[in-house]
Amino acid sequence: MNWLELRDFEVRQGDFRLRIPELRLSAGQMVAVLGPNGSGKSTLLSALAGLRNYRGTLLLGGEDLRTIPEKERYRRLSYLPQGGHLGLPFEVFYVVLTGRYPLLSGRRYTEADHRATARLLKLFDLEALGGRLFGELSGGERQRVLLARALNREAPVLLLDEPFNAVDLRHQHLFVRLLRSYVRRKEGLCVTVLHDLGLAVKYFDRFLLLKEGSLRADLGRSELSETLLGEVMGVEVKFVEYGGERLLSIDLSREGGRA
Amino acid sequence: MGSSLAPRLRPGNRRELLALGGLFLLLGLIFGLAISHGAVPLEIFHLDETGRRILLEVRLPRVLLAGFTGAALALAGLYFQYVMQNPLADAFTTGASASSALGAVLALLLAGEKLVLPAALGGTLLGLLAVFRIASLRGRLLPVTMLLAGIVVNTFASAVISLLKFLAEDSLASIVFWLMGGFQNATYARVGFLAGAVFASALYGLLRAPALDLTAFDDETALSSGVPLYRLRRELLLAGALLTAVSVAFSGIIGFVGLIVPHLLRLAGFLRAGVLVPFGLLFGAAFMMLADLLARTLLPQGQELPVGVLTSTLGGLFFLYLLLKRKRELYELA
Repeated sequence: MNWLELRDFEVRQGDFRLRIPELRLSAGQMVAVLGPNGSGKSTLLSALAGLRNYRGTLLLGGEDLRTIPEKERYRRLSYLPQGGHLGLPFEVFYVVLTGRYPLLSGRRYTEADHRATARLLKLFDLEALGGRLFGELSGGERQRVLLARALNREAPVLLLDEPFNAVDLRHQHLFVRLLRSYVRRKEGLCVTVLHDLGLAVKYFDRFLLLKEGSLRADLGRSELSETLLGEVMGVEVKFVEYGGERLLSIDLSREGGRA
Repeated sequence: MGSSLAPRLRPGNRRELLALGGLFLLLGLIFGLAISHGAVPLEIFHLDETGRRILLEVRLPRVLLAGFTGAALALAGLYFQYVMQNPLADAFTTGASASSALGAVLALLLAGEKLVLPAALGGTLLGLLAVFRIASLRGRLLPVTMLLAGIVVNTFASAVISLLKFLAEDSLASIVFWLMGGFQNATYARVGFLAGAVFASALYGLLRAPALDLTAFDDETALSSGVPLYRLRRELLLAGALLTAVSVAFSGIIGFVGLIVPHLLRLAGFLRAGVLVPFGLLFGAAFMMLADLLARTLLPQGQELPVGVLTSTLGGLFFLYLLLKRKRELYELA
């Protein structure tokens, strides 16, 4: 099944234009969106989340996104924007709990919502912070809370915009594994904007390479090539096999390294 | 059945119930003090005919008006805080009170008493619109720019009121009333009207409490949680404006209540809208009845202090504390 399907998809923002002629993202995939700054990665993600005007077709689980009522739409997909902020004081536990807002049927969160939130805090190593104010946390801790919030919805489709920003190395690897088992368990889809090529190559199944608002390549793990990656990212990439794992050696390419 | 009862038994909920009881007790206590003390002390349980008339015709409507004004301003402050996404917003700091008073004064001078209320509402909405236009930066309101815009609106509206006062010498006393605020013009009709506005807007907020909390997030997070953010903001702004306009039209400018009351409740650990709305209503009412009681009884000769002067003095000190102690919040919550 295709969780997301795009045809003649176009988003305009001022002079910037993002165009994707055709794209199908199917169940069970970890999709990494890669590209330099300003290539349209965040624009793509927020458009997939239904937050931007677009032309063309965008299907979520086979249905036209525009015709799905908001609450139902956000039960199916959970979006973690970049640079999320919170203007009023709330405890960490409650911030994570609010991720389940689209699942509310009445006016209050149920005991099941509380239990799920407690479980997730434990999973994200946040148990000790549950009673603290969100605003008092460090940048990395905040990001972990917001990622936990995004997963708390239990939506099959996850759209994560640089979810590991400021998160320490150990937790990055912990969380990306967590995401992978989440996607497998739910037969879901995780589309993630990333800058860490190493993390992407190690854990993701599919790679969308964006440059200047267009989809340069859509590759599976085995199709990933040094030249293509290097060309899109503006660096020189070499794969190094070590202990059965593919590692990356990265250098500035001649045209990229002006100095 | 167990699952529907369980949330009520969490420790947090027990604490909230205790606090609710405490607030009702406090409200009752202050109400008792407020109706028995004043220029003429009243023995509530042994009233003579004059005493009964003073109680029913003067004291009671005044105390009730003070209570509902406090509740209205606390709720208005809370709602403005959700709309502007920062804890420093209230009817006074956004300039809503001053623009509301300007509307009221203009109506009084040009059209007479009947148009005071609609003119106050119009003034409030115009003032808030100006603050929004001045303070929005790429679709976001920053606390610092909101405060600056509030100062601009406040200064402008107050200056025009002073100018009108200067030009219209004969109705001077009533204009001064709007600038300093007080409950001496209380009637049961006004109490009823204000009570209706307070209960209706509190109910509106209570029914949407989880959505209210989500307005505190950035727009993309709120929208992608399925909250009808823009509609909610418009409605909250309208409710806050209505509460401000009614309380200003009846009692003049009374500053900072909407800032102090939610802030103290949050300091005590009550952070969610589902709790802040009812608690703010009760605490705001108690706070204002106490302020009015002090205004009536502080001076030994029996003269009254204007309540607005009292709360603004208190509020000014409180604001100073916020600026000194919570600088980080001010700049970083941006």
